[in-house]
Amino acid sequence: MRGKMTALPPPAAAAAPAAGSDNTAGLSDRSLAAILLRLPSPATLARAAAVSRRWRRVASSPAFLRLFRRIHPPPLLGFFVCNDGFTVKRVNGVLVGEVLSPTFFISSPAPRGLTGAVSRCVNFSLESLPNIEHWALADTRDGILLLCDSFSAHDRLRIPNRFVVCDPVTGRSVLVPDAPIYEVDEESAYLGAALLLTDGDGDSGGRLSFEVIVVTYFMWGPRLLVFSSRSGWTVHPYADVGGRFVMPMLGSVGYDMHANGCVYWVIDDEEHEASEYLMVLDKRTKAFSTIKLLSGMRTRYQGNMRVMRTDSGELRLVALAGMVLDSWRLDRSRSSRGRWVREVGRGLACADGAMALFAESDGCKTVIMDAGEGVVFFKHFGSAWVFVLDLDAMVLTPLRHREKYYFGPALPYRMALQPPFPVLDSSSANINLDDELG
Amino acid sequence: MASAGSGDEKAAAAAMITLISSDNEKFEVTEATATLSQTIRHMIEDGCTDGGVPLPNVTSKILARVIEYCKKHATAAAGEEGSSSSFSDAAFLEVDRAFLEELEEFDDAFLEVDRATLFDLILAANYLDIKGLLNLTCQKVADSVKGKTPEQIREMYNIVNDLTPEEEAEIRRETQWAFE
Repeated sequence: MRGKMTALPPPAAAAAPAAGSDNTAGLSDRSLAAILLRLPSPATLARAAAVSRRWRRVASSPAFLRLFRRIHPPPLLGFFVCNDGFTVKRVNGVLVGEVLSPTFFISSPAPRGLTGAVSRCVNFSLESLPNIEHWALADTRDGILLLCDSFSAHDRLRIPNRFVVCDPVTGRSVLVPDAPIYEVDEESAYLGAALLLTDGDGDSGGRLSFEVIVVTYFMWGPRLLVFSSRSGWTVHPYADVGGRFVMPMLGSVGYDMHANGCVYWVIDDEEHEASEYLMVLDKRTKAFSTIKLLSGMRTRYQGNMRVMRTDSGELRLVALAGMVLDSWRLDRSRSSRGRWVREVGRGLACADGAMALFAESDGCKTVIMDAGEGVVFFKHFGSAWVFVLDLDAMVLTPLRHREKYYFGPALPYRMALQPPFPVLDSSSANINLDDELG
Repeated sequence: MASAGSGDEKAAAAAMITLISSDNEKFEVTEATATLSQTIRHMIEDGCTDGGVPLPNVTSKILARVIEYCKKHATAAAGEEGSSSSFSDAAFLEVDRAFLEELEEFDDAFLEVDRATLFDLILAANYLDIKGLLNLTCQKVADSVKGKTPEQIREMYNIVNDLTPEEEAEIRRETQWAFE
């Protein structure tokens, strides 16, 4: 601030504004931003951003919105629950697959002052996305959803090459250029995709900047295809996972779980070490690591466990043995490797609404479908119902029933305003000329 | 403070600063009051305050208000510093609470101004870099905006709508949710 005195406008600038002139004209963008930062919710900010071009420019700049999110942490509206994006119906004796939109489970207590945003989520339809045969949910971050052109979020034998990034509240979406999946070994599998917002990494022309990270899997290790909204697709080499020479079979790898800027997979390495561990991908550094699980977990839960989706920084596992739900926390206060601490087990029978869950089980095993932000989603094989457990209140609620065969991720959705979407030229996809000519 | 020696008193008397408004009115204030402004603090540190500090961006009307704010809050700051040793004292805490309440009442009354003055205060607080005052005034404007539609905000502050019909249509589509 020193030396500012020299750059002052002449005293004439201080003349009182005439009646009826714009009160805010004298404000610098910085002061206007200081005012807008003090608005209490995304809804009030969205309305203020519609006042004039200047207010809109200030209120939708990436730097401003980043600061706004830091001051007002994005509120949790609920969960997008994927029913694998499709159902099968019999039409005139023929089985026909039908694309289905995700179901939205409104978080409790319902967020105040955001009724309009919640209703956009409830009514979110895959029809609003670019016209691709099918879309399944892959990941979410600060008001943005990532979907891939999969029939099922659990189909890992086919690597999806189309991705779309969308904001269900404003209705914006942008199709990512096709992923160069021909660059990876033909027998590679698909382990999931992740979304990373990269607004803080320098100038993005006032638009949303993001990365889509596609995780493929082959015996030599996982391999990433990374799309950056600034620079297009990059194919990474096989990643090193704790110095392992050959990776376990695909069947030993659990489904992707997202928390704290990382993606986790439970790996049950029966052949090599008869041990279970978490394979971890840091979305920002793109580095893989492992976290050992306790040997007792393997026998006790038989894989029926999930990492709790959260951004709180805490790594927490929920695991079900019989009808007792355990919660494990990785305590890193004493060492960077950390140690697993088991917290109180909760009997599902004690939860409010447990009767409906048991009545529906029909002798089938209850599995944890997903978990996030203090909420656990259960289902039974063969049953159409999903039950949602609020861990704090210990209340089980059946999920609003849309269609059959729910199985897939339940993504916690936090409402956040984002800058305008980038315009992606689909022809800018990274093309390997050798492959084209060969 | 009263127990301080005459030397200190002299020092305090010497530490008066003259602020000169855009319309050439002079205001004598203590250094403690003036240094709530980071801009003036830096000028004092640089030793360029002899002969008064010209503030060509601030009218006498606004400067008088700003000084009123700084005087009150400088006393508050001095009060906090002077009694920091007796934090555990319940009586002190009681006094402190009463003082904070008084300060809050002062701030509320201070903000009872017309819109033009409010924005002039923001400009002055920004230029003089007075964090507390900037906070206070910006929050006041934010509070006035929060329950309003864009039309109401424009009307309130005489803002011209310069959005093209296309931009308006896009905004309407994307922010319809915020009006429900």
